[in-house]
Amino acid sequence: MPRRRLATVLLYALVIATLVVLLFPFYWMVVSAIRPGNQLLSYPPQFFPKDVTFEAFQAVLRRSNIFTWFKNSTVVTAFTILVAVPVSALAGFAMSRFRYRGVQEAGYLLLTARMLPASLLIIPLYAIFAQLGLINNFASLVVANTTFIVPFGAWMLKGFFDSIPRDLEHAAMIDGTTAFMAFVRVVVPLSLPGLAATTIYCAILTWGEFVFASTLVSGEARWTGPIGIASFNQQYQLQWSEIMAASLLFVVPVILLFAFLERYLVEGIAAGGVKQ
Amino acid sequence: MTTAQTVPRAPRRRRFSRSALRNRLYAYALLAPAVVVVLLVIVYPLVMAARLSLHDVGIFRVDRGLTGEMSFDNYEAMFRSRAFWKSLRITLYYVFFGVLGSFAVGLFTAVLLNQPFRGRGLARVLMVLPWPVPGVVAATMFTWIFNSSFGVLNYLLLKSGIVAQPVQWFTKPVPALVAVLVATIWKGYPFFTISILAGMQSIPKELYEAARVDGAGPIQQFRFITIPALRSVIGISLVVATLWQFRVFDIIFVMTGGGPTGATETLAIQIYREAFQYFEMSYAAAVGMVTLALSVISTFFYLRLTSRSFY
Repeated sequence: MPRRRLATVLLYALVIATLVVLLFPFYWMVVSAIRPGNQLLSYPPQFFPKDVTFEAFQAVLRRSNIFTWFKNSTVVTAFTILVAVPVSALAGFAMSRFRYRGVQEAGYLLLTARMLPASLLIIPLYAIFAQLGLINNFASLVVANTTFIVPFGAWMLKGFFDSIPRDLEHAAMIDGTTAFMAFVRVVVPLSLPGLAATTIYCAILTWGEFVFASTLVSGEARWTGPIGIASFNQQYQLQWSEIMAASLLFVVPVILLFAFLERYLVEGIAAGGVKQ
Repeated sequence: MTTAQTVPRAPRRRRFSRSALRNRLYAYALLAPAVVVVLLVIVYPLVMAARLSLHDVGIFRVDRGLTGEMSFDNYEAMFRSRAFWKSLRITLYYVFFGVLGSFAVGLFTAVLLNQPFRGRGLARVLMVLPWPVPGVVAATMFTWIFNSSFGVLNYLLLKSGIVAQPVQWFTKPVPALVAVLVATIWKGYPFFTISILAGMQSIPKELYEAARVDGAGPIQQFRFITIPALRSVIGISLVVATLWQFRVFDIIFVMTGGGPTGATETLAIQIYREAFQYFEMSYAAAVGMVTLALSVISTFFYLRLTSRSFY
């Protein structure tokens, strides 16, 4: 059927054209990062680089504290995951299994709380953390990030827990296990995809977080990746190839994480109606 | 949703039984960490911000407390300030066109991905790849693309004859807002792609078959089956995207810092600048409370429009 074949060709052409447009910023970032700096300012721009060089990456690594920033981002992200995922799991489990007064209300409280603008909350938060002596301490970042992740994490995990039959826990409890140990030994192992999705979501959000990181810590030694990259515009006389190289280094981990585990995450995003 | 433990209504005694009490306490204990953290880090600061907005404080310190009489001076000053009204107008443009653009691209890509074709799995991952990109990185990417002298976009526009002179993207008000919007839409559309696609895939295939039998073409099917079935998904996505758009900070702050001359200073940026650059924290809190009210109003607006409960 020639008509159907034509439709297929058109569909592929449309998909490819859309991808070319939407992914062009990624391509341009890569191409700009691997070109000799002086060529970036040539006219017309080269769409297909002839000379490939990694000098921009070397320059960024040598001239900036990018290692420190990435290390800081890693520390903050790791601790946020460590706190936020268990807290979300406990709350999500309660929301999935119990219908007592207050449980549902707590769920809605979490959902509503997530929608508040961070740039408003940061004013009192700054004062509170200053009072506690936690300014310039990563603990403040971990607490702030955790709070904005738990609401979504709890709702997302509730969905996963809902799909696990209660009979399994009951069976374990009849054998003499406590309710909590039944949760840990029976429910948690069965919800690993959900926990993985929550972990990735938490990692992606914390890795790119900007408002808290730019107010609650100061001083270059404490900057996280986003603050460091944002500072390139003002602080260093860097070339565009170097800014693109730094951005690329910073975005690669989350892109890889997302690309490989997209399947799990997408279910959660669609179900929870949640956005960064 | 599986039915969880429903407390039986008839035997009233159960309320006092020890195991029921223990279960209830167990449920509360599981919820406690999440609720405590949200109360301490979101609700308490929110109450504090509301009180702060009714006082006159430059740099807020918890140990000094909020003393003195409460007044609406900050709100009065705000409603008299031209900068506030300008920022409000810019915010409304930014939110409206940002959400509209993200929705349009998201719907288009979701429709494409809903067609059966080989390699659809890969196309789906690639299509939503901007989703995990940190706002700061999206901002640097687009700052470079929009660079007036050496940016690739100006080259393409000149080459194709759309403009005769290079566009001064970051020194003129409207172009700066357009540049910021493009970056925002690019970061924002995958959320719509994901939720609309999930919605489309849950529509029963039989509906389309029945429509075909009745002689409905693809456009009629889309108009009379797909769109009505997606009503609630689209409504909720619009609410979530709007609330996000009101909060966006990093993309604008890194690309333009709110400039030129306040042309991209949305309320989120204005709150931050008033609080942490001019140290007018109680005034900033007042602007923040208005932003909050706006987000709540637009949520209700959408909910009425799609007439379905949010939760």
